[in-house]
Amino acid sequence: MGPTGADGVSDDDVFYAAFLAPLETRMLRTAWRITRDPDRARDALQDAMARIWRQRDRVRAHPNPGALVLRISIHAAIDVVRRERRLGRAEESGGPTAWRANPPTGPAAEAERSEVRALVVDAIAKLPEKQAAAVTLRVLEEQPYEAIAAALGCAEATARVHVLRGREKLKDLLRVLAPASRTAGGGP
Amino acid sequence: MSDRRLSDDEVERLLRQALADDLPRELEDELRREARRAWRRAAAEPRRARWQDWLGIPAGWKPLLPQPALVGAALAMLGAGAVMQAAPARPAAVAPLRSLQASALASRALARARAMECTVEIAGGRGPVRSYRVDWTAPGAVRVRFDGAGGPVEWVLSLPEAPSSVLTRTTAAGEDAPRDADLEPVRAYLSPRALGDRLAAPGLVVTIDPATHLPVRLEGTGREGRREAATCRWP
Repeated sequence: MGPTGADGVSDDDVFYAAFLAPLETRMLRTAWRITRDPDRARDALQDAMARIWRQRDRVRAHPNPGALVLRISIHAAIDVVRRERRLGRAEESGGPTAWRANPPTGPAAEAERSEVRALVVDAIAKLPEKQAAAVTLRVLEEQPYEAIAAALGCAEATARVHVLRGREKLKDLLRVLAPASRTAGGGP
Repeated sequence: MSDRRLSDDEVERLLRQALADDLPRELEDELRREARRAWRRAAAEPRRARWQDWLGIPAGWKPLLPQPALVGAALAMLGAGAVMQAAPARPAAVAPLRSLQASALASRALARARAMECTVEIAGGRGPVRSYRVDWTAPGAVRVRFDGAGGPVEWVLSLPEAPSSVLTRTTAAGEDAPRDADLEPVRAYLSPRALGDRLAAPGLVVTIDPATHLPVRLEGTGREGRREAATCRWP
């Protein structure tokens, strides 16, 4: 534990209260959204906390500590997914299923959503680290480009490029989910 | 598989839908507790130096030496490297290597040599300096001239590769046969192989002709404790 003040509160407690407590809910949700599994979400959070603790001086001095903390959390979650993929324990997709913007409900639909989720998580895990973080921060966390740039330690224009390239790669990786071209008159 | 790519909107909607923000309430509470526990665990680990964090060294790993000792050793090695770089063009470690290389080249040149004229001066202890003239007249044929006790002596010797015994004496002033004792001081000059061995003897300074790699001057105190100086010409 870090040095403790006269009031019995350690530096680490103060750091948690100042930097992590306001982001706690988002960190939990990010871990869940990427891993989609309670155990993996737990692993991701543990990794994230250990990484943040090691980088606490960097977080403290960062111009946008919140974005950096989210980036670290995203990395930790993606790393857990990658690790599970390597070990062959991740949720596997049963096969390509076209994605529907308004999916039906029911057990079959849940199975379909599960497959789509596995493909999407797999695709994100295949992106280069900065692109994965940039796309996730932009699309899932709805962060402005300025915050993404601060989190990645790059210029705003570069952050835009990371998002753009990541999104383009996802389009390729998720091509199997694209609905067939619409014909005049529509489908059934 | 569709040959159509998703649009920007579609891929973003797909991501939001597939990775929906639907963390169950009870799991959220559990993960919150887990996150705080993980933070306390991380903070409870032994404090590590910043360089260990930077290198990503696991917390349980203990270096064999304390950091100041490692830093000191690194600085000492850097200093030693700088001194060696700044040293003169022929550092101590290079000289023996060059000497060995020259010796090898000289031995090779000697093996090809057919004739030599050499003046050898030997001074043993406090005795007088004795002067020998050694000429290789043909392969295996050596003429040795020196001032013996009874006047000038000249021997023509036919030597096999091992110059340990003298086979033939043609001319001598009042001597029956050359004695090994008389030739012993110049034994090293009687054949190319013997001269090659002599070049590697400690205590002798050998000057090599850079063009022919043959020895032209040998000077110093040999293994036997005699001072000798030889000047060789290679016709």
